[in-house]
Amino acid sequence: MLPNRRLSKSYGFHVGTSAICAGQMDMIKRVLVVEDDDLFRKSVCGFVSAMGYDPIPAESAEQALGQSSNGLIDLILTDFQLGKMNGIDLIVELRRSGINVPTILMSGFLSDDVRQRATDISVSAIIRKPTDLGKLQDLLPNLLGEMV
Amino acid sequence: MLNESAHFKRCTLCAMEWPTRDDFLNDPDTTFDGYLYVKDRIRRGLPVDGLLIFTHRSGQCGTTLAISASRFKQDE
Repeated sequence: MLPNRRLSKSYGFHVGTSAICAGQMDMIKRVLVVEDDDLFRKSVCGFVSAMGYDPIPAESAEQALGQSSNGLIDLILTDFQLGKMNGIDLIVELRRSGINVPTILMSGFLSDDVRQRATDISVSAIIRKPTDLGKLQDLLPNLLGEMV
Repeated sequence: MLNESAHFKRCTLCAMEWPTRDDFLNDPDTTFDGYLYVKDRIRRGLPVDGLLIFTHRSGQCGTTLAISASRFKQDE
């Protein structure tokens, strides 16, 4: 079991959570956001943060592996096209290292082949950028086992 | 602070550069995916006018390119 309930200081604001106590702070769930485009990554992190979660930004699969090496991740939200290692390879690698958490794959365009590969490794959800980003509003609490 | 450099946009994945806005818009390998508005409360330095989202579909590249909508305003 992963000790995955610690607050990170990697993205230092939480909209609407300023009045919560220290005990509640420990419960804030951490979402690894892997996206190579700087503006898009910041936007997604802002959205995740506004929902009350702690976004852990990573601009590459390699950085994501480093960011999650302590195992303190509750959900992985990753782009597909990342460079040397794509989003599916990243998810497989993270699982290999013992991080078995819900995963969301996002992309502007996904071929049938990639969709099939995502299904084969049981990705929790696939969303299209940017039109499906609003779906995170329901997806994140659902996948994190919280009431919507 | 947003990165303003000599070129209009540089692909984060394959490093291709488009010197001007017209170069970017006239490239058949860049496809428009949609518009993303970032609300005030989560903007934190992100563009006020929102982002236009493209995909760079060239060779093995297929990454997302997000560009401030204000950079596409017609010059007066």
